[in-house]
Amino acid sequence: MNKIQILVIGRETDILQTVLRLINKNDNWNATGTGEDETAIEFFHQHPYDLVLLGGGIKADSEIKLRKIFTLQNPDIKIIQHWGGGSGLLENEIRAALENNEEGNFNIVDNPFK
Amino acid sequence: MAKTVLHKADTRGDANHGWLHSKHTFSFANYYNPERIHFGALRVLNDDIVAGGKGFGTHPHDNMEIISIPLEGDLEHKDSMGNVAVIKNGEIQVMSAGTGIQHSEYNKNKEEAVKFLQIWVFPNKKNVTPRYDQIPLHLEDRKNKLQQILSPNTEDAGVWIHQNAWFHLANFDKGTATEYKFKAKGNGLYVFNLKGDLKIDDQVINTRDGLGIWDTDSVQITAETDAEFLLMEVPMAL
Repeated sequence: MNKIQILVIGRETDILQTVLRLINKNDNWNATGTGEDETAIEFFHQHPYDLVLLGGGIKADSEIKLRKIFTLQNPDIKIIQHWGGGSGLLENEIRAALENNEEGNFNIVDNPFK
Repeated sequence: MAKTVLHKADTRGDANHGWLHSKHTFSFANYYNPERIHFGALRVLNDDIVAGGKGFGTHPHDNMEIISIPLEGDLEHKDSMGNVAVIKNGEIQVMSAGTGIQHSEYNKNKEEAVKFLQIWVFPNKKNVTPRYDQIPLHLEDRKNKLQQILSPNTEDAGVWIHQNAWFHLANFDKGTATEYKFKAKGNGLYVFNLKGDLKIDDQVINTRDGLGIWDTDSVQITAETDAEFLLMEVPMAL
């Protein structure tokens, strides 16, 4: 069975590494990550990802740009915000996204409640 | 007409790691229930028991408002902002994880378990500057009345968070009743019953049950027995 390919983008190196380590503990998932937008775009061009996880520290203009580029290249790509920066919600968010369950996946750029 | 959702205590997720026994009202870590992800902005309500001397090693967080309410025992907190503190019953701790923090939480007592509620609320803005606060609460201020312990306002009673949310604690004698009026339109109220039997409008809830109510402006709360409870008003619109 092919692993679910996940691209993680987050500005805080320690948190990014933690998130990658936690995701890759799951035998069915494979995560790669970066803190840089340009590297993320390059990764996305080179690999067929199933899911993009946006971590902390990404400003609105970057998020809008990344979403636009990823969606243009793959209109079906799932892009979700990872909240909490660690183990608590990570697996839940990925499972919900893969099941197309919108509950708990809040993908608003600045204010999730506007 | 008010809408409600009832979460009976024995339907919560149950994670027993030996050193940690946690009951999850909403999906968390290995507990995943697609129908129980959140109640509005309230994302995590964990009812934790940590064995003596044990705890959560250093781990990161970002973009979440994290509230800890100790129920019994002492919890030692250390974080990457330089805060070292012990919180105990009668206090409340809040962290805005924002752009990112690292912290650890240990049971300060080597012999006795520490019991506490860990609550996560989605922030109303991402990537805020991380912050930590801890304040004492006066237990007498919740005797047969609602004690505000959290709000969005820096000058208001209790701690504050980056969200349009208000929390109250109460310790009611049997027969005590009150009306809770919502602070903001579009908000819902999640009642977590710590101990005893409560009637919320027409719904009776027992120890450790949770009841969410929304699409209403107020609720009537009556203690059917001596009761302790936590009210969490949060935005419902996502």
